[in-house]
Amino acid sequence: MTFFKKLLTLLLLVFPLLSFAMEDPWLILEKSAKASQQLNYEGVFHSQSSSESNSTHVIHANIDNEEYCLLKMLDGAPNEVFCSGDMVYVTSQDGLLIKKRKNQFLFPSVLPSDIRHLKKSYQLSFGEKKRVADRMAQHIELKAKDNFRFNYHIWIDDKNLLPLKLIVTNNKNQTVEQSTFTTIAFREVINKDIFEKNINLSKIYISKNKFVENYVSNKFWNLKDLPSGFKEVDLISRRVNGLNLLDYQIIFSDGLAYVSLFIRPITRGTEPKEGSVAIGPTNISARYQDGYQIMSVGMVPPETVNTISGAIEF
Amino acid sequence: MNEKISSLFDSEINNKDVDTLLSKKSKMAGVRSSMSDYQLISDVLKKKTIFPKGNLTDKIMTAIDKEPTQMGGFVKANSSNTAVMSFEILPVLASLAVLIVIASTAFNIEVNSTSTNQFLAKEDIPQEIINAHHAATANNMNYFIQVGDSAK
Repeated sequence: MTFFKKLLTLLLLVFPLLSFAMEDPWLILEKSAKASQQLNYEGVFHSQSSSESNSTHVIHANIDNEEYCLLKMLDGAPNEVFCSGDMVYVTSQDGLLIKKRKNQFLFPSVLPSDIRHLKKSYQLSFGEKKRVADRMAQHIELKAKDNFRFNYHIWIDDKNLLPLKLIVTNNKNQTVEQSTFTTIAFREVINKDIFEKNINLSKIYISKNKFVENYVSNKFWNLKDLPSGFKEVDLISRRVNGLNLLDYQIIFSDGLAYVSLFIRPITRGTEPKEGSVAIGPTNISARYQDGYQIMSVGMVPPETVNTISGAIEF
Repeated sequence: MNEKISSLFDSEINNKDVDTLLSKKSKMAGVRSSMSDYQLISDVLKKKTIFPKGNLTDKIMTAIDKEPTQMGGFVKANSSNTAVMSFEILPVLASLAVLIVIASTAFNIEVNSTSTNQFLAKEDIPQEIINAHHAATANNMNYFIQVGDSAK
């Protein structure tokens, strides 16, 4: 073998390794987000926040490029959530509630499809591999670049990149919330019948809930100086019960953290509130302006909800 | 006489009476004193800056000292004397009353102002707000399920 042939062989061997090493590490999150939409799996995961813990049985499938999921609470009331594409059906003791999924990312689908936005707010690093639900998983840390968000630790399956474990920590490294699979099995095919036995997909359901959501055409407010990385992802309006008034919910996100900003008209006999308070891991900030009670709510640091409630002006 | 002095400061006096009053002022100390008192009342009512020639407190105290004092029982007072004293104290008391009204207006605390905003407490947070937030954003199914409660 000539020298040039040896060199060529060597380059052919080394080049794929080099290209792998130079691949954008953030791409692994994008692939992980796709895995959570495309894989067929069944398992049980355990979720815990500061005040509550519960276990959920999940079946997820991608059938003809349509995403289906069935989640059943194993603790407390036997409530169920069924997802079919963008539609979400919640069955509980109170009956059936139908919603259109817009920002809803139920575990393990916690990562956004477009991860470019995350780069502005988080610093990515790889941790050690460990076993989660009897599978090897790679630890990925998304460390907040500022004090406006918490840190996210995600363990993704070493083979198919599905998120198996999520821990959210504050800047004191205390756990705010966590979800982790205890058992999981992957399948080639999951039959559609499993989902259809719970809900008749051919039937048209009419939502009877009082919170009729409308979509706002005219905004009478301006937003300035939002926390870095947060942008408006949704706007919902609801009619105030018994009054010809609307209240508004603006949702902001940096890709992982979410904050709702409520703009509610003050009704007669109601005293406006100001200040901030925490309910478990959720922080709330309230402000009064020009006849409206402004409240921002989110599982984010207090600085974030305070900044967002102060960002609105009429 | 006092009516004329009062009319003078109310700009309601006729020219003839002005001459009479001014000639008496130069001759009678009582008229000068009355005019001074009426001038003070007029300035207070018109909210003019008052620079009393003498010490106002001294004048008030002097006027009070001149008031007859009842020390138990009823003493028959000199009717003419009492009338003079009452007349002299009247403008001072009127001035005091006006000053009290002005001061109370200046320092009045608005009673019917808009009620101050209350500080936020956990109990002030409507559950429907928490539910609406989780319904749109939570990745924990338990929070998501609670949406059904808010729809009741």
